[in-house]
Amino acid sequence: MPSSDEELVTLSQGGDLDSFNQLVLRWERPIYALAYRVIGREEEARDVAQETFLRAFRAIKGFKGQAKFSSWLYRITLNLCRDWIRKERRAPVSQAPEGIDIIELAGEATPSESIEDLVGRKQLGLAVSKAMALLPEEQRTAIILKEYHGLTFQEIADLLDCPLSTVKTRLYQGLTVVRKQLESAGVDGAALRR
Amino acid sequence: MCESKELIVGFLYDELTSGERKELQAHLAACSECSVELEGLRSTRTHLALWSPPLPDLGFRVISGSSAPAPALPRRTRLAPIFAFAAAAVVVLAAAAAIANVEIRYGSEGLLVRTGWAGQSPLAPAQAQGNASGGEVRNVNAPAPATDPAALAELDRRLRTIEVSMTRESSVQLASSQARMPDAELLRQVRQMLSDAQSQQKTAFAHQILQVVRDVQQQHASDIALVQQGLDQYQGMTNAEIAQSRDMFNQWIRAAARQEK
Repeated sequence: MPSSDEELVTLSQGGDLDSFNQLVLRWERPIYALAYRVIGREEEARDVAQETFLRAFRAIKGFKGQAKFSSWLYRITLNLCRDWIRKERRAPVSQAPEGIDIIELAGEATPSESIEDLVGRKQLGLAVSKAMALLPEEQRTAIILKEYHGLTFQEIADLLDCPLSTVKTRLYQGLTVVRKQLESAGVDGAALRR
Repeated sequence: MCESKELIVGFLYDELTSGERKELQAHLAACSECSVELEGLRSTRTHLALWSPPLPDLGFRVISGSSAPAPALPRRTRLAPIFAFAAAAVVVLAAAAAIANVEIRYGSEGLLVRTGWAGQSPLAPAQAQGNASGGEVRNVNAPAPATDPAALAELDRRLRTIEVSMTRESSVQLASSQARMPDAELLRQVRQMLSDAQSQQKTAFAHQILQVVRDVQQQHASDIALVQQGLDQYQGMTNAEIAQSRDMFNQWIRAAARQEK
């Protein structure tokens, strides 16, 4: 029976390495996905994810459980991403694949989905990543935490150390910009219904 | 646009109280601009769902070393000490192999070091021991081992020093399944490097042999030309002698004919 995060954290604080590695296994993909969407670079996102777990391991005994373990990891990750962005003085990038591999896509297609639909879906995803890369860091982070990690407004506010209303405003403004960017790129609601 | 952005966002993500929801729904029924705005944001959310990150094989795991904190090294260096160790080992071993043509095998019997040009022999340590007891097979063309035991001991000492220093640096290692190199893989790569070094040496040796063969062939062709020239001279001298003999014979015949008259 899988243990809860809290149980694994308690065991980890007692020096149980296996328990901590279970937490790593459970959270490595969400943490990597967060770093990737904030930074936009695969290798750097992997480095950030590694460093996140390294720092968490070193500091696990000091974790008091006031926030969820996942929120604690998210905070470490976002701090590392922020450091990377400031250090590199670089805006997030949208990594576009060299080309769309039709054969690879065929493996991802659902039975009811044609290759043309799948190619269109990939291109839409790329357009979204480009639109997101244009957002200010605060708006982009708010949207990522809400859309892809399902945090509540309050959890985002706690994580970003800002008022609840600020989170909502950032979300609204960010979504509006993304919507306009997609429209200017020729993407609209009809694209998905085709 | 009405001042209802926060309510629209709350409605969009289903984080409104029942009172707020009723309030917004009443507003939307009367405000087409906000209704269009809400529909547009919903559509944007649908598009956002299409952005997927890549799915690399992460396989992170924490490996505990000593309890001392890790030094503030660059991340890549800290997370991949085995790579650094492997690189150092390969450089040192490749240099030694280039000098002494050393073959190193590591198995259950321990470390076996062979030197010289007998590297083709795929003898396992156990077989080598059997040969030693029952008569060893040697390559008679192999030169005497060129490895100084003192040099090998020095090499071993330096490798151990590197290993110890790397171990100290990595008190806590976080390695991915791709970043951590298994010992078997490390050994395979070291062997590959040694094999490459041997191949390079053998290629150079083959080039030298080929050059010698070419030199011999050139010398042979040159000798044949000299012999031919000598034969031609000899042939020329013989013809002259024949002509001289013929002249002398003719003169003798003429002289004999005069005497008969």
